[in-house]
Amino acid sequence: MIEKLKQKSIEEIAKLPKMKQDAINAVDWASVTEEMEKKFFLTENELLNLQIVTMLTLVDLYDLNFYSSYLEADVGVTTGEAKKITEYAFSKIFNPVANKMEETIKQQIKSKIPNWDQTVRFIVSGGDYSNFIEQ
Amino acid sequence: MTPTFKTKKIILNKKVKRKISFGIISVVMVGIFLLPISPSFDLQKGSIALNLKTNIAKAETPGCGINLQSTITTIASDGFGMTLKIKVRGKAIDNDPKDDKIDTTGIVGDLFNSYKLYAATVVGIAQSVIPGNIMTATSCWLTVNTSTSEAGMWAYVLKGPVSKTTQAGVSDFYLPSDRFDLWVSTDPTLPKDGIHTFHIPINNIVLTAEEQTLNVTVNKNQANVSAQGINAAIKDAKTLYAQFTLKTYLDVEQNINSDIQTINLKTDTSTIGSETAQSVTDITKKIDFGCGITSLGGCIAQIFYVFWTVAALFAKLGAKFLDFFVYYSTNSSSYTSNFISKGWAGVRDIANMFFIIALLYVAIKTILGLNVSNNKKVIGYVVVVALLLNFSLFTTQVIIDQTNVLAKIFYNNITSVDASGKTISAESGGQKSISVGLVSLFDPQNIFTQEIFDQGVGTFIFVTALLIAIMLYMAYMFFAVAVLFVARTISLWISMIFSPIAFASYTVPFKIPGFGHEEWWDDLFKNAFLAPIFVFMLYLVVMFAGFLKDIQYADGDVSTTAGLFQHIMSVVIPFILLFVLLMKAKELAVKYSGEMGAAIMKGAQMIGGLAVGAAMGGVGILGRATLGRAGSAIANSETIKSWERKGYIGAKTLRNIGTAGAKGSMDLRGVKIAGKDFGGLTGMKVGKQKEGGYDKMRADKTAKRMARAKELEPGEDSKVVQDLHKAERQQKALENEYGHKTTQLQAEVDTARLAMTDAKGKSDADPKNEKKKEAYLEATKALQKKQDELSTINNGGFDAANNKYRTTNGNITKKEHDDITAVATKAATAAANTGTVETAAINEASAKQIEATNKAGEEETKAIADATKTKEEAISKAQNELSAALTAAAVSKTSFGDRHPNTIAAQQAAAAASTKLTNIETTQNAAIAAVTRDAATKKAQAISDAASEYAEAVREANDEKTRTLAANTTAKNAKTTADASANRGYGESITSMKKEVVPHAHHEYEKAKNKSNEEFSKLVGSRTNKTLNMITSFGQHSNNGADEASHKIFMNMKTETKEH
Repeated sequence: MIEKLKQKSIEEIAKLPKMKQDAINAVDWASVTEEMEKKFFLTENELLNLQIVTMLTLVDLYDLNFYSSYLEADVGVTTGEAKKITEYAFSKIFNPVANKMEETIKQQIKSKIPNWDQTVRFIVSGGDYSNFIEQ
Repeated sequence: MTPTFKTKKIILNKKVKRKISFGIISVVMVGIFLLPISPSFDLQKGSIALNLKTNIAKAETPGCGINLQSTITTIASDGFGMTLKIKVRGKAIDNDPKDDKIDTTGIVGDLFNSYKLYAATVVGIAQSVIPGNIMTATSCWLTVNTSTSEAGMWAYVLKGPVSKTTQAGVSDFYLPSDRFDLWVSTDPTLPKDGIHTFHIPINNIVLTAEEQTLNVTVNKNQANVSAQGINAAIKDAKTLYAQFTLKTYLDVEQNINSDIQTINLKTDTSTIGSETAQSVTDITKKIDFGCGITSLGGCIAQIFYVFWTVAALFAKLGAKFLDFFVYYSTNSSSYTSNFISKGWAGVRDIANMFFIIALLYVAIKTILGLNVSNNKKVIGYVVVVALLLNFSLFTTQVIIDQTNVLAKIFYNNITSVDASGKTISAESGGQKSISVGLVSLFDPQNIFTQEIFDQGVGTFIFVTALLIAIMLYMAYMFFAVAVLFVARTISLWISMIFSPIAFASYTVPFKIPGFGHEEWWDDLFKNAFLAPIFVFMLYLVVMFAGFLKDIQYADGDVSTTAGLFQHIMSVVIPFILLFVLLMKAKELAVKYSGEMGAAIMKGAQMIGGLAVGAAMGGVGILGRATLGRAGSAIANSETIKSWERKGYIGAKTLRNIGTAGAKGSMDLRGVKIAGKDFGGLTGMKVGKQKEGGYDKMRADKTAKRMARAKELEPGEDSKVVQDLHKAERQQKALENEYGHKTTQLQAEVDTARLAMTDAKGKSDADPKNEKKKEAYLEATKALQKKQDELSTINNGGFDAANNKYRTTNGNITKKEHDDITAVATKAATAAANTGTVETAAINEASAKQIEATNKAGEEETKAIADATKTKEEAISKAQNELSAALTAAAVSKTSFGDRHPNTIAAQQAAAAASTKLTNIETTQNAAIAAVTRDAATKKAQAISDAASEYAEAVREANDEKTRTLAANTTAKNAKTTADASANRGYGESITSMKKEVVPHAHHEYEKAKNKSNEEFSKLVGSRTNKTLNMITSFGQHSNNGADEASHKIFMNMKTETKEH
């Protein structure tokens, strides 16, 4: 990753709540994108754009729902490639970050009593721990 | 017209009068009857837990006694006051008081929300326990440091010869006595409510005594005292005792139900280490609302309390039933009774008759010659079954035992925990209190707090009514499950007893209704496996109970309405969840339960039918009369509806509970096992079940919730939905229009990428091969070209060849319009500056010309000057040589004479030097002339070139002016076209649709949906995708400015890419 993007990502991640910062920092997403460069035969330019898109998505400035569209638009890959890259990014980056956040929440609710409505929402959602996140 | 009213005198006959009189007298009698009752309720409210730890360590100097430290690790007071007395006593070996020392480090206490103003009292008493051993005055010093206490805290010595009062700060008290009391109290002028925190370290109490006592008195409400206890070091001590006495009370002024517990921790020098102890004191309190003419509410409260007691007894009975029958039904010894073996033997004898029938059947067939070939097989069959029949009871017992063993595996793994978290041990026979474990999940007693009583009789009645409902539902739940196991046990008994018939049925050519082998096996397996299936489900439910306990419900301030409901919800919600889970478990298990023969229970139905039916119906009547009515009132309450509309927490749940209570029949006669109700199952005529049970309520509720969710979503006619559809349609239209081309280009991009990767691989493998390197670069360029083409289509742009915009609807995109406008503005500015630019260019060219002319003149002058200088130097040199030669000739002539060869040679050299001088002058003059000519030529050429350049610059300036004006005209025309197109509305590119327009429309739709459906989404929690929810949990992308921020970052990084 180029130095400027590295700095920018540190700045943007620092704006997030501590729990999410820790979760993102626990995953070496930059290395994963470099793996993706080799796996999907990306050029250096495309890699950089992929890293920017991923960073913006991680800090939630890009909507994760449209990650694949951003890849097509900003990285310049085709629809099929974007789908494959998205699947890979979910398995290696986004899911691990979410799992880490979930672990943190589980730890937190052991020491902090959640609101009852959070608990009810958690139960009716079928165990979605994001209901315990304080907005 | 004024209306007129006719009055009619009501004449009461004697009968009516008697009825009214009787009514009044009855009411008065009931009042008189109730008055002396003095309604009061013993309510268990909670407990105080005291955890102690005593550390004993050897003294630093061996043989000099032991040290003891008593530490109170926690005092958890559940809303009660308490007095804790800590006493440490040491016994010296030598009875020499001078060696003894008890050093107290003091007590630190935090007291929250003091109810009374005696925030805390610390009393230190030191006294000798050895007769005649009086402490000396000089050894009694007490230091009280109240500097860390909050303002208004003050301390004073009440007893002893010195009485000194001090404000916050460090004070020394001289205590020339063997006894002193120290009081630390809050300022009586402080308000009663609020938090008062103080720390009272008492240092350096050095007493020559063997016993020391500290009292800590904490008044009610969330007391949290951490006391360091007493550090004691007694030299030469042999034994140390630590005694903790805990006295609890509900009110400072009323020592109601005070309970004193004493814990002794004793140690001697042989038990070095730690010792812990715990005391849990349950507290009860009498609540009395009174009952009289002026306090009818108290009477009603009393009535509700009675109902509650009855409901609680029903629940308790149901719990006992459940515990017993689950245990009994899964216990193998329940199936080894004598009556079973006797019954089985009787049935076996009857079954043997079937073999005679079978043999007769074969004989008749043989006589009649019907299917004779099969007879041998039938006879063999009869013989085998006749043998196996004797093992029918054993076979049945094996199956039942196996399933019971399976059930016991789960049963034994169920760990019941009571409300205090204590594991309930099984009874001697192995019976477990499953019901206690289930009830501890929601702990209904916990619903009552002091604040609820403080809120008055109305709240008490409401909460009691709610508890009645819970108790009745609970009773229903327990009975329903217990009945399931009763049915199983009886069914299995029947299966065992009638197993010979089932075996014998294999041999007879007709079906035996009810006891044929097909039905028998079916019943046996269904009933046998009911237990392990249900107990497994029960095991899951208890585990779920543990899970729910981990996630607790926040308890609000019960003194407020919202807090009260939160508090109620903390009991009601776990109960509802438990109820649903248990019913679901029952439902699943019941699928496999067997049927009991109606005939078996015929004997019992006449006796028990009416009684059981009346009892069960009675529960239903009571439930409907109390719970149903209360539920209906809650469900229809406008106040609660308004709370729900305002989004008060729990209001909807409360109203739903009311609805459920109103609809629920609470009738055990509706409990179904294997599709049969209790009556059908047992053969008892218990009457018809009232309609509208839990399942119906749940189905209605689900349907209602779905309907409500649908209603709350933005409709098709709403702007956000229309915008979203429009955006999606536009994207689709774009993709349709350019789909073929983009697909083709995407394929070409893929091909180009593969070619590039292939070329890169070859180049990397052979880095010195320039051709391969060149091929790789070509492949990269080809890929880039294809990507650019695709990008042009995806991102829009003007197609010059076809003179149209590559956008969705032929309209210009906003970005294109902005770009064209920017170009036009730039061209217009350039055109406006054309005159100035031309003049500047010409002036610059002119200046260059002058400079070149001057430079040529200077170069000419310099060349002539250089040539002249060279000439002068050469002549000067030749003149010097000539002068030297002449001098040498003159000297030789003088010395040697004219004819001497030396003189002649010298004269010849002088002549040669003279000739050389002449030649040099001639040569140099010619050179100067040549240089002058050459310089003049160069100068002329330079001037000519400068003039040409000037002329060219002027032409160029004029041409540029023409081009600028032409470009301006073109840009102006383009802008006019673009403006016209923009006026028809902006178009969007495929990329902008995918990346901006459609996501934006989605966000707007989601926002609108969430806004209008906030409450529903809060309760239902529509989010299911964990990763999505976690990553987007802080909602940055939907914030204003997120697009701008991300665009800025992207562009910034793109610039970096180019630099990179």
